Amino acid sequence: MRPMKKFYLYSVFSAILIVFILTTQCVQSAQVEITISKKIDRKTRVTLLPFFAKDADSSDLLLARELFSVLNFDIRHAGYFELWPKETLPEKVLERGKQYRAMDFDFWINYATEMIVKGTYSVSGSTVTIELYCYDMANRSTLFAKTVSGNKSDLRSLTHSICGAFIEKLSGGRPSMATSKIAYTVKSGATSTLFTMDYDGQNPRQITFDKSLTLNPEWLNDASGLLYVSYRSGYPLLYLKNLQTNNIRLISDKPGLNVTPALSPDGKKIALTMSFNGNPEIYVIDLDGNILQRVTYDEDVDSSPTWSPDNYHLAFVSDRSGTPQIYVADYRTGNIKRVSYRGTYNTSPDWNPIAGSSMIVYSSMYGKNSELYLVDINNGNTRRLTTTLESEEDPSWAPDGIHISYTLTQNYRSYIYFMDVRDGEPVRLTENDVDCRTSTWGPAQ
Amino acid sequence: MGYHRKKKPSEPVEKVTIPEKKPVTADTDLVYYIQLVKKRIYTQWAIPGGLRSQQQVPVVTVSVTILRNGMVTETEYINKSTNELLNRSILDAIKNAAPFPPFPTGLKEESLEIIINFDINS
Repeated sequence: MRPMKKFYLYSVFSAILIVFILTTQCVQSAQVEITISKKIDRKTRVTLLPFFAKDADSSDLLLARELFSVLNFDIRHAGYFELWPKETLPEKVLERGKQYRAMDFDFWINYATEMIVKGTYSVSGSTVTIELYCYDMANRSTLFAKTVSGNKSDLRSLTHSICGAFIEKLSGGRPSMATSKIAYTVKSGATSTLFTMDYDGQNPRQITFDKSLTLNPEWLNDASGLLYVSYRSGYPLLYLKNLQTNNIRLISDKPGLNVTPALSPDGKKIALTMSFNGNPEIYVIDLDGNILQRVTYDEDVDSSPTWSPDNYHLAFVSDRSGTPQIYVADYRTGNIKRVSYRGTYNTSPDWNPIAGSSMIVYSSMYGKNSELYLVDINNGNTRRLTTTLESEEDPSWAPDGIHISYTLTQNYRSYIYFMDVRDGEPVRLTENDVDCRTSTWGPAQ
Repeated sequence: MGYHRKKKPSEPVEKVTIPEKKPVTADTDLVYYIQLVKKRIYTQWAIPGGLRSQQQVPVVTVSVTILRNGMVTETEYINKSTNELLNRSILDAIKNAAPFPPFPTGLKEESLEIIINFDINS
């Protein structure tokens, strides 16, 4: 029995060994390490929930709808967000959003949204209080919470201000266009009138009332007033209108042209085109009209200056090369260099207001139409922004440095549009029956 | 009746040298297959846009085990992000990229363990 048992044990052991050897030979596994690098190629997905009344008894559907419409416009066009989901949220989901609690994170993550924006309102007499919250799905935290109160008649501007604060926080402190206004002129026969409107095209307000030609609006840095050129006295003179007091002050009345004013980013100087010496040249004056410096000395036409964000350079148009081109002058040394080489008719430059930016947007004739171009003056790289059959001109940067307003002319009528320079989607701001031109985007307020 | 061109005896016979076929090694098959997996996951990876505002995002490392038939059997974090949406985007990318094609015949392994570093900083 003993040898039998020994043989049996040997057999079992050998069988296990064979199976082990076979197994290790067949089930080989290799290990490899790789890296996948990718850049972020989309915007933040944000789900907007309707505004709910804080107290169910004070529910005001019209007010809630207007609040949501302002929020929707501001977030949709801010340039950082993608409204998510694409389709309308079902009633059940909206109800869940209304009762939003921290424990709902998983539910919303499954909805593939990155942020939930939710607002409430309450009305007491003529005062409305708006609260806005943003919940970050990634970190399961409240990213933004702010309350504003004010008169019910200021509902839109209150909502813009709270949305602007939200967008500014999400964009890392970059000014938001949500609280800004756009100045523009409305043409009627041989005259034109200065208007302002909210950046979303709402709330138009007439600024000038003299029946003459009004041109070249330029905002003060705190949006408290507008510089503009008017022919009210028969000559193109520069005026400043205080938007709070409605007081009008004459700034420059030199003989000849006093046009295309551009306020410096520090708010202390105005660069403009004056021709009292017989030829249009760029000058810099103070806010009382005293000449501080002559910038150009050329026998050809120099006009339309725009300041660099550091106050040291001025871009302008000059036809010293035979055709209108964009040049940049060093305000301190007087050195001038040409920055546009593509096209034979380049005008209306506007320097991106973001600190350190070297981007200038301008109009350029392309065939019979004017199109918008962007040039980086550091390397001369030029990009065409518009490709429509209509004419686009007079671009002006928004305070966020990613949007521009401009005039689009179609069938002899002009409208004000804005667009994100990165994706080029145009948004029309003015109505059919008004002929609008020369828009200038104001500062964030 | 077919037409047959008679070969003229005076015509010089052109010598054609057929290049020797490069032997398919397990290594080239492995490199090919890893590139294929990488490409498929890259295409499927939708990075959360909210990360755009963050200065530095730590690399997330995941171990993925693929069988000979291309099926993924195991996905495991080695370095996980504190950002749940980023973690989720990576798992979604692997899930949507799978199943992968079966291993090439030159690849003898029964399974592959691929350590993948997901990097959005470079």
